[in-house]
Formats: sequence, structure tokens, C-alpha cells
Amino acid sequence: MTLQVHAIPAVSVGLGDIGWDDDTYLLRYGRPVRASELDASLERVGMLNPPLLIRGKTGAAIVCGFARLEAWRRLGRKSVQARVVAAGAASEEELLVAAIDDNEVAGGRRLNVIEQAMALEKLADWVGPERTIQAYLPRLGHKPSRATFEKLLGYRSLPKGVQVALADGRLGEGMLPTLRLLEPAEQELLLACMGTLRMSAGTRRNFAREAAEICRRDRVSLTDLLAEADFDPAVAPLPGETPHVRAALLAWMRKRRYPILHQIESDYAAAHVELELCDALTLRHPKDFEGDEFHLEARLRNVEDLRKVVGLLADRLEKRRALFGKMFETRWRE
Amino acid sequence: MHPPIHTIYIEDGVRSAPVTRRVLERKNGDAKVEFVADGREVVRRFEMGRGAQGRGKRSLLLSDFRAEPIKPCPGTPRYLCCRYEILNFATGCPLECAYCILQDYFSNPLLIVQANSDAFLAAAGETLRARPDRFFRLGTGEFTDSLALDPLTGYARLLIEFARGLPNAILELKTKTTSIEGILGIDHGGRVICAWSANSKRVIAEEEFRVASLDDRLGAAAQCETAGYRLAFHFDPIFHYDGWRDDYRRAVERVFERIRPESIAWISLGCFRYRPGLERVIRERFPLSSHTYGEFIRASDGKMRYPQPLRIEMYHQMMQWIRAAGGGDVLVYLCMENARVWRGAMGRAPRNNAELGRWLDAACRD
Repeated sequence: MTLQVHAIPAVSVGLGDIGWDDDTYLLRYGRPVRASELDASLERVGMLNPPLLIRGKTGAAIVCGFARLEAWRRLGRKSVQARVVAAGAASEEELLVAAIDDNEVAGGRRLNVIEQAMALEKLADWVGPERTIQAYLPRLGHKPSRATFEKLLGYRSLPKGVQVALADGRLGEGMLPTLRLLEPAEQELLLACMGTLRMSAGTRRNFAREAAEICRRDRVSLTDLLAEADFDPAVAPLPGETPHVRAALLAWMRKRRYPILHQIESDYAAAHVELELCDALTLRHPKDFEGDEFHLEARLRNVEDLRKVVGLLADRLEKRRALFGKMFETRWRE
Repeated sequence: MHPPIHTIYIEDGVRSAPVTRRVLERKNGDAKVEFVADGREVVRRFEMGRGAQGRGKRSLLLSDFRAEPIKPCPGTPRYLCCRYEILNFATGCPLECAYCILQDYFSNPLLIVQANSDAFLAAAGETLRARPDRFFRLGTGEFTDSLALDPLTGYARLLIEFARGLPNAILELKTKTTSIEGILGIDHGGRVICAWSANSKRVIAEEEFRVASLDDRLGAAAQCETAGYRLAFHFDPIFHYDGWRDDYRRAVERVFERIRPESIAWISLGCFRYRPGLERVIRERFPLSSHTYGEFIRASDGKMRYPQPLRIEMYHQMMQWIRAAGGGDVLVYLCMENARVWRGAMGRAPRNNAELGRWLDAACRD
């Protein structure tokens, strides 16, 4: 059954009659209220969409319109026109659905995943998991599966900072398996680190993965790992230096995560320099050294350039064959 | 070792099959038995979900034969495959190896045995007879452990009796167990190779569960050697970690301390590689396993592999230890590797899958 909110007439309610601490129907998380904008709007046009309240024993609890009512109070108003549901006239389930609709239909925005988890948590308490899965997961845009239900509910036990990052979009759900490789406190440290260095989404993914995997592999804490890298996430780089600090940390992390590949690449690069090919010639190894297809790249403008390049190659093959061999037969030795 | 089967599902079509009768005689007293009209309904119950892997490994479906009896090893593009053929009598494995690729390869963890052995082996025989010009190296250890369920099913004896009469095939049974009671004292006609997966003691202790120790595996291998079986060992997967050299050198030495080189048909080597999807499974099911945090690159077949220069070095070392331990004349081959790695590690490479297959065919005909 759906509560017909618009059929409930708005009446005047004293703000002192509202239970401000009751957050039973609150579905806002990690979404800061733009207070000054909201205040200005209410000042200018008034309360166009009356909040929804439910009458209880000790006053009226807010169902829809938490932010609007807070703003109304900030503006020094003493009463508000609100729709009030009589005690016992609607179930908790109906009221929460009204709160969801207020966000998703009236507010025109989807609940973020933490808000969805909050709603599911409450509904499961009231109507049981099975009905919640079947009736409300689809309503929130998901397939009615227990796995999805458990996944979303699991988000509520993440560290607070991680929940906030998920809610405000700084963190994608896809990064959670990586983050979970770290202890809870370290998950927040990793987020702080990525925030301080203003990493893009793709960079965050790689950085987080590499850092977390090193911690697991070498059984070190992220705190110790960052100390090893000489990086303190609490200290933001000076303006203008962020890109350099970020690049240095990313390079360090990659080298620490893939020491063997790094060494192989360095050895190959050193041998390439030693070959003394001209700037126009590059001998490229297979991607990640996998397979046996090397590529010789030459930048040529005319036949004369081609003649020079061929001559140079013949000379190097004659005098530095062993070096070519070393590059083609790259092998790791500990 | 008795496999820890909690539930046995029996399809109506195999209620009275000899394999079924044996399973019912030998099952744990408290194992539940459920008869089902169509096993596919049971399979659906075990479609992947939380906990399905663990439950699946404790549940056995005795199925009426409907699988392809012989399937080529799936191989992997651009890497050399020995053209092993899978005698598909069972799928799923009751052992618990953290790194097991079957966790990702199969969409369903249920243990399934083709209980209608007569129909299964008749169909397999037909396939082999249709290609008298070809020599088949058959194996049962790709989609399951060849002997892990044998204390319950007694299937190995049937497979050996089947292989004994084959003019154009040899059968390799590959296991990590010591469940050899059912295969000793049988006339195998020299057509069966008993193989063990081998690994370092550390990997066995940390990554393989419900399996026999290396020493126990070698003890079982020695018994099979005495029973006249030819043997094989598969160092696969080999892991790279601090101390891997000492550990694997020791493992190789242990093999040759217990087994005569002349009894070994072949040794295969394969560094750990996996489809990317396996990483999630391992991290969920075996959170203490740290091997997926090693250095891997995505190779041209889409699998995660150690960098090629490292693999070459690892195989090269293994070869040296095998030679030093007395295995200089044993055929050693690389499982699913490219020609560059073959040349770098072994000094030679088969030109193609067919040639590699011929090398192994020759080794088991010796």
C-alpha cells in the first residue's frame, strides 16, 4: 500500500512540536546540505513542498523534508505548513517509501548506495529481508537478489570515511574489494592519500590496488608503506607541486609493487642506451616482455635517412651483437 | 583418505549402477542421499553464490551419462599445448587448493561422476576406435583429481581395465592424494601412468588442503612403482616467493630420492597462471593466500602470468635441479608455455603442439 501524501492537507505545526533528533526516516548520507542556497531559496519563495511529519507520542517526527525544516528553523520561523500523518494511520514501511519517493521523485535524484543501504536496513527490520529483497530492491533499481541485498547492507559496516566517500562519489563500488584488503583504519588513510594528491578515478584505482597488494604481500601496514615512500598524507603539497609529488609517489609505488618488471625494464633501457642507436631508431621489446615480437621503429624523412639507419644498424650488429642478444633474450637473474 | 561428502544426489537412471552401489556401501554413515529425476536440477541449486564452492565440494551427483566422453585439453591460444585428451568421467574436485583454476573455470562446484560407467566407457572406446591412426594420451586429472573420490566410487579400477585394452591410447591418472588402494594389484598392461602433482612443502602447507603431504605422495608413488606402473610428476603450479629456490630444489631432490628416474615417463613444469577472475575467488575463499599479490602481467592469452624473463629463469633452475638430481634422461616439458620460454629455459622448443605431443607419445611408448 502506498501512502497518498498529496491527499494529506497541510496544517500549521509549531517547530517546537517537532522531534528534531528522531532520524527514523532520515535517508541522507554523505550529501552535505547547501545551506546558504537552501536558506536563500526558502527566504525568496517560501516552503513550496510541505514537509511530511508523523504524529507520535512525544511530538511529530520528520518523514520527508529534514533539510528544508532545518533551514526553516535557521531562518527563525516558529511554525511551518506541513502534512501530518495521524499516529497509527500509516505503517513505518509506508512512511519510509514516502521518504524514498520524496528523494527520488520529488527531489529528482537517486539515493546513493549508502542511503539505499540505510533504507534497506530499516525495511528489513520492519518487514523482513525477503519482502525487502523482492519489493524494494527493484524499486531502488536493483535485481531482487539476496547477494545484492547483502552487498548493500555490508556497506553499512565499512569505516565511516569509506561510507562517506562511497556516498559522495569519490569512491566507486568497484574499488571496494581492493580497499578491503586493508585494515579499516588504513582504508581511510588510503582515501586521505588519494584525496591529498587529487588523483583521477583511473589513477586512484591503480594506486589503491598497488598499495593494498603490497601491504598484503609484504605484510606491512599502509602507514609503514607510505613512510617508506617518505609521503605523509596529512601534509598537502604546496600549490603547484601536487602533480610532481603525485607522479613521484605513483612511480615509487609501481616500482615497489613490481620490482622484477621494473628491474627488467631498467636493464633493457640501459642496454638500449649502450647500443647508441640514433634518436631516429628505437628497438621496442614485446609488451611486458611477453612473447618474442620485438619492433624496430625508425623515423625517416627520405632515402638518405634510410641509408644512414641501415648503415648504423649493420655497424651495431657487427660490433655489439652480444648486447642485441642480451636484449632479445631478456632473462631475470636474482 | 575418505572424501568428506555430506550429500549424495543420485539420478534415477543410475540408481542400480555398480558405481552407485559402491558409493552407497562406502559413504560416510551420516551422508544424506537424495534421488533425483534429473541431475540438472541439482546442478542449478549449486549455481555460483556465496558459499556454493564449499558446499559443492561436499556434494556429489551420480549422473546418468550425458557428457562428452573425451575432450581435448582446452589449451590456451599462442602457447604450446601437449594435446592431452581428457577422459571426462568426473568434474569438480573435493580437494581444496587455494590456487585451483577450476574455481573460476567451472560455473558450478558440484562434484559430478558419470555413474553409468558402462555407457561412458563404451562411448569413450567408440571415440578411440574411430581414430585408429592416432595415439591418445588420455588423462582424468584435468577437471578433477583422478583418485580423490576413488575410495568412494572405485572408478579407477574401471578406467584401468578400460585402458589396458586400448591399442592406441595410454591413460594418466593424476592426483594429490594417496588413494591408491583401488589401483594396486590390477593388471594395467603397461597402459597406465600414475602421476602426482608435486610442489614445495611450503606451498603444500599453505595453499593445498585435504591433500597428502609431498612425502606421502611420494610414498604412494613408490608403491605404484613397485606395482609396475610408470610414473609422472607435475610441478604445476610453481610459485615465485622468497625462498622458492631452496624449497623447489628440495622438492625435486625428494622425488629422485624416492623414485628411480627410469620409472618416470615425464615431468611437467608450469608456473602459476590464472584467468583474472580467479583472483577474486582466491581472495574471498582463501584470504590468507598471498600468491596473487606476486608479479603478474596479463599475457597474450588473457591469463595472468609471471613476467616471461622470470619464468624462463624459474624453469631453467628447475631443469638444472632435475638434472642434478639424476633426472637428466627424463622428458621434461613445459605446460602451456610459448616457444621463447621453451628455448630460453630448455634450449629447444617444439615447433608446434603436434610436435610436443609426439615427444610425449614417444616417452610413454618407451
